[in-house]
Amino acid sequence: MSTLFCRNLQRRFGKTVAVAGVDLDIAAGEMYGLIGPDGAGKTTLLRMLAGVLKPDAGTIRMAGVDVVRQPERVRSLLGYMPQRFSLYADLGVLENLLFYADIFGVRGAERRQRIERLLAFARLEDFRDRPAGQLSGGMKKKLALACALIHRPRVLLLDEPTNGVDPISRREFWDILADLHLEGVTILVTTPYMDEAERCQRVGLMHEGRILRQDTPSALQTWVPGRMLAVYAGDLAAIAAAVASFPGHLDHHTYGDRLHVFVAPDLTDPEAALAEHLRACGLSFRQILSDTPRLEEAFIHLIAHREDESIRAGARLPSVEL
Amino acid sequence: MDRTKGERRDSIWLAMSIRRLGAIIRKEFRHIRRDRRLFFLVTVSPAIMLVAFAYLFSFDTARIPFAYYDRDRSAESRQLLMALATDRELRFVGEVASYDDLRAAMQAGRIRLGLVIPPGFGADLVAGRTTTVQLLGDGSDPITAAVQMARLTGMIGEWGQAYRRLNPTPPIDVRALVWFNPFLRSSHSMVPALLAIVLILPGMAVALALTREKELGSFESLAATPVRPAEYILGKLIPYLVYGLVGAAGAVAVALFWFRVPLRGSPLDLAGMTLFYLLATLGVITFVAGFMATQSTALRAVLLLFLVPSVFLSGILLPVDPQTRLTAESLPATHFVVIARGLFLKGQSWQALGRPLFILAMMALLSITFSILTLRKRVG
Ligand SMILES: Nc1ncnc2c1ncn2[C@@H]1O[C@H](COP(=O)(O)OP(=O)(O)O)[C@@H](O)[C@H]1O
Ligand SMILES: [Mg+2]
Repeated sequence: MSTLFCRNLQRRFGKTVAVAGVDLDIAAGEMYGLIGPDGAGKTTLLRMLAGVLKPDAGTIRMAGVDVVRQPERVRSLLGYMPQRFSLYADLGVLENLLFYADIFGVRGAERRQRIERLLAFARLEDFRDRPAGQLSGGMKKKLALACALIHRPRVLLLDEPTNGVDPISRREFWDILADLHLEGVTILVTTPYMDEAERCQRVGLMHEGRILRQDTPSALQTWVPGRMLAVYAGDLAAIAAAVASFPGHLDHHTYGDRLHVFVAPDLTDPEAALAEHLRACGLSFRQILSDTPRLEEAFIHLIAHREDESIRAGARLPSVEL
Repeated sequence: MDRTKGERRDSIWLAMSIRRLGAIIRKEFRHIRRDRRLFFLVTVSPAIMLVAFAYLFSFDTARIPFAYYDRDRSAESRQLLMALATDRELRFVGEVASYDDLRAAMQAGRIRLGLVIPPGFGADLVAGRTTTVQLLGDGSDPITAAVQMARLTGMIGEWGQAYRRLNPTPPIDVRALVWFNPFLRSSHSMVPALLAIVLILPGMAVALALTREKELGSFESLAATPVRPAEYILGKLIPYLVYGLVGAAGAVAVALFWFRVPLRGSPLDLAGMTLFYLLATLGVITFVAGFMATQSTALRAVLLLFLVPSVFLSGILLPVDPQTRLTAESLPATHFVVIARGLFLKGQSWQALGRPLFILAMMALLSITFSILTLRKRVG
């Protein structure tokens, strides 16, 4: 039986449907990543799972407890880290930890040990007395995680824990999550970063209140149709205009310094054919390589596909802001 | 709504842990101590606001210049002059020798009040005959004139009582008789009543504290913990009650030592009843703030629902109007105005103030209970 389970979870705010019927089954000890653009409904979903927002419909069970009806019964087994900074900015690092320890009934020698461990874990030993409001973005997030871990929760709900954090702190943070995963904590983490989702065992793609697909990160990549070619060139805009008329073109979009072009899988030697096509259009480029699509592509493709069934016929993808 | 039933099954309403309550209280004390503006708002501003309001609303802050036209020059008329000249609110400018001088002095603005003693004043008093005096006021400042003339009428009448045993009718023809505040010093009746207003400030601070927690997002983390509504509400209230009492002590000190309002009742009664008043205002404001999401709406709610109506309806400036009686009675301030005036001016004991005290206690009990019952550990 899954540790975290929900069925047909729904919530709207006025006319906005934030969560439009979500089913989840997260096994004990699993690390589940939820990705999706802003406004997809990730925060709303996590708030309902954490028992701090009432669903309009649907059921939630956490370790067998009905979270909607009896949210108080899951408090002690749940660690929740909201998206916004939600600690007390005027209290010091240690004061915040002590506060949450007292609230969760962690006391005595155990309290001291756990706080020391968490301070070491989050590398905050040297900042004990610093007011939480004066910590860097990454340290704030780590302190929030430490506070959410003070009572050794079995289930951890983390809402964009690395948003606004520099890349080094992000890596550190994910190393901490990996440790927790090894300890057997069930983790549901939302993130706008695809590379982070790739570190999860399972990934769900959320868009407009629904989970479109969920699978292992590697399986998601195989959902992208055809093959992907990466075109490295100076003038990507001109290349993009030209590839649309390439026979077998399915889809394309820019990715940093290159253009990713999806082509029908039955083409023979598509690199050479595309190079020929671009030269015929009078365009120059540095290189064309065959590449594996990353999660971004899988994600954008799934959203676009949902919105517009004609994608396969070669229509241009709408851009999705991540 | 059917889910509230399920939520009740958690029975979180009465359950309390002293440890968790203590954690909230400690945290709240730290917030107050570290936020200078908040600390100031709760502990110092009641006294400052009392001074500001007392000067704003009272008419007797400057001493009123007056002259004396004594056509009798008897021992009695000189005694009356002595009594008036030493009054703390009057400034004796001098004696004049004619009505014309009196009029000229008032026209020039050198005096605002004049008193004319008729010939035979002393003889009439001693003989037990009713005598009359003429009081002249400067109508260009009608409020001061009305207030001071009424006050002097009372003062002279009272002074004349010394001759009463010789005569069953009042010796001096002044009818106005004012109870409890015989000298009609408006500050004496105003300042204790204004305590009710300035002690709304700790309530304002607790409203800000409650909504700030929601606004800054810390409530979302807290909502996901086992903290109970009763612990949260009481943990917020208790520190503000403690600092609110400090603020109240400051304001009372200003009333006693700056405005020199005598406290005729027991200081212990005053302390106890102030505690009840603070509990009632903190409780009622906490209840209202529970429905507010931001600090600015909470601030506006406290101003519009408590501070402004309390100033105008609770009987501080004017007696409670029968038309607004119900609104007035629903404000804790109205009841504390009765209590404060009763304690300071009339020297009443707590038994005599049973009704307002009982109402405040009920307000405190009900509002705190409902604040706890209506608290939702939810966001959005
Ligand atoms: N408290 C709220 N009040 C009104 N609308 C909300 C509220 N919370 C979320 N929404 C709306 O619901 C949608 C989903 O938001 P959210 O759950 O925050 O998505 P995400 O976390 O994926 O960015 C958005 O359109 C957002 O504007
Ligand atoms: Mg979000």
